[in-house]
Amino acid sequence: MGGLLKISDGIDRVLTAIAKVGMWFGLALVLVVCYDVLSRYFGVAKPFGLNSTMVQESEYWLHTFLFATFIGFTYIKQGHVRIDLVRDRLPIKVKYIIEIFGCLAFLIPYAAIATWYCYEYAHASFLEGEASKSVIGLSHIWLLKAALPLMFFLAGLAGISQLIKSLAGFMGQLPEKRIAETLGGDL
Amino acid sequence: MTFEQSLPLLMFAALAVLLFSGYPVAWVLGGIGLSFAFIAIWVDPFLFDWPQFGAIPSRIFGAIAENLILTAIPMFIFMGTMLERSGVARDLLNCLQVLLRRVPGGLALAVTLMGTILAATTGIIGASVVMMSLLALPVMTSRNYAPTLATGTIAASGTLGILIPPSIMLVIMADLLSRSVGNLFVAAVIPGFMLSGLYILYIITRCSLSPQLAPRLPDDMGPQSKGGVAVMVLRSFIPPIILITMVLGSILFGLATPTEAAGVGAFGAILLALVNLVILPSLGVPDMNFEGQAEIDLGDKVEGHGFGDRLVGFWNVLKQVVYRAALTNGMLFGIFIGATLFSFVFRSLGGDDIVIELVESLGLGSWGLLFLLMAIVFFLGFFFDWIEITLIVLPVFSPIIELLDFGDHVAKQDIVYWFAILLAVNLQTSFLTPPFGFALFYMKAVAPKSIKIQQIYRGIIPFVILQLIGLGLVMAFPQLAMWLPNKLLN
Repeated sequence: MGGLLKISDGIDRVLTAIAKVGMWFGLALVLVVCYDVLSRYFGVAKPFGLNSTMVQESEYWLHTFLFATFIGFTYIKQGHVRIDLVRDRLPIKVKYIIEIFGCLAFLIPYAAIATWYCYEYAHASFLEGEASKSVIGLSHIWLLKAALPLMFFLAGLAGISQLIKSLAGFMGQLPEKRIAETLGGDL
Repeated sequence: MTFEQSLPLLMFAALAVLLFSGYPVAWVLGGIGLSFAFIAIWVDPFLFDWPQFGAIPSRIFGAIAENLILTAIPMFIFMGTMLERSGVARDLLNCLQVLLRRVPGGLALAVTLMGTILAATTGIIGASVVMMSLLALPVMTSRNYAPTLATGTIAASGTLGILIPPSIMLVIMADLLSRSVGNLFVAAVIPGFMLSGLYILYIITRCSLSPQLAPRLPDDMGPQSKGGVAVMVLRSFIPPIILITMVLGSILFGLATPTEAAGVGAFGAILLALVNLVILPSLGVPDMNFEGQAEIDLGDKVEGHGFGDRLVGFWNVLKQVVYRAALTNGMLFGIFIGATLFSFVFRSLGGDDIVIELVESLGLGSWGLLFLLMAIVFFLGFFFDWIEITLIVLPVFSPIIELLDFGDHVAKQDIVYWFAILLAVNLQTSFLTPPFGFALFYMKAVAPKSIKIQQIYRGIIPFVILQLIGLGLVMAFPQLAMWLPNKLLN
């Protein structure tokens, strides 16, 4: 179990490192939108041959990168919504079983299949050299589309990490301080 | 009905059961969507086939990633989180309480106004109710307010956020119903402020009739001199009000898209935080934290009170907000993506036709249908937040909404907007209705131990009645919702 928990630790570190970078896409988004507003309504110049379409498209690029880097991480931080009415009353062992079953039956297959199809989707865009539908928009759409397989891949990793922690918890081998981070809420 | 035809219904049944396992909603939605796609392939390859899997990425990409409307959401979340974490919201509430200290039920009114104002920013039920419970409930209890009045006011005002624009829920509703966000925002203005007006009227009347419910505040609360009050208003009241008015106004008058307004609003919130945490303290302007509330968390490395330390503190708060907002956003879009997959499979399996068939077999008229849909949503609101309800149910309802026809009561092109507003008011009511009101649970979780759940239940009843009056009014007089958009935007 110890070895597996190390893998879980490693996954959590990777997810955290990516999220620590990814979170800044949110602030960047705010700044880009403000810049867009300033340049469109108040005549501030656009350098480097940028145009309004490019700026606006970059806004949903940033938006996509923001959620793509965070959805998996949100799981290991127990930030995803759960309907807790019944679960709150269940013994802790049952909670672990729910997590184990959920990861195996829902999250991991979902993430695996979606990663594969999204990878093909982004790959096709890369081969095609796809650019924005708007002539003056951004090129290299595959970079944006690659965010989707990345997102599902990270969500799958989060599922594996959570699965390991829940298994350890079920067998009573999860360190005390990691119980709350596995099951969330106040225990 | 054959097994294949009943698949979409089984999907919903499975969802209903499995959501209560307490496994994250986002993953349950995605998992069930995929499982049923597999079942369908296995049962009948003509029903669903492998190439249709290939359509899923473009669905997610088109609906969620490449969508400039949804881009507003992370920024609205950012703006709300920033106002909360930087203490701007706390100062505003304190300021309102001081200003209203001579009015009957002053603290309660301050909470209602605060809910109305904050409504403009966060729009996530849990977040607003929790924040107001933490900020206002201890103050109201220590001032001997009746617990029923205090809790009722906070829960009701805290949920106004989903209705009063700019609301994240309205952004999502407009997106799912393929209607303009701006129009929906404008349509929500009068109903939203009407509800908040009803609350205010109720609180003033009730507290005038029985003053023991809300003891008048001692005059020593807050600054004493006229100058002190002026500083307080200038410092804590005017700036956030200007920011929120600007955001809302620019959308209402069509000067900016909701996405642009959200970006500027979020940036404005950063500037307010900078003023609040660095500039004002350095100039020696007194802080508004006079009730012994928790200090703003500036991070552990900040100890001194110099300009540099304050700047570091501001940077820590900014980092925290960037992080928190991204987490909330991740939670929301996790469900969004799961729900997109779920409804894609549901539709591919003929779910839309079955829903319409079912509805037609009931033989209800438009009014009957409207009441049925409202009843379903009201019931769901006991267990789920608006995020799940809107994302799961609205795509299923939208073909039914198209069927509705109210003759002269509502113009055909207005029905979708009117319906969305009714839905919003209805959901808000549902969050407040005992025994399963969603907001009430959130409140109980953070309320002082002395507050009993029974008191919360009793306290909310008058507000639920006000909500029902409001809902009835918008139903009976669609003009409440539609007059302003037709006036402003046509």
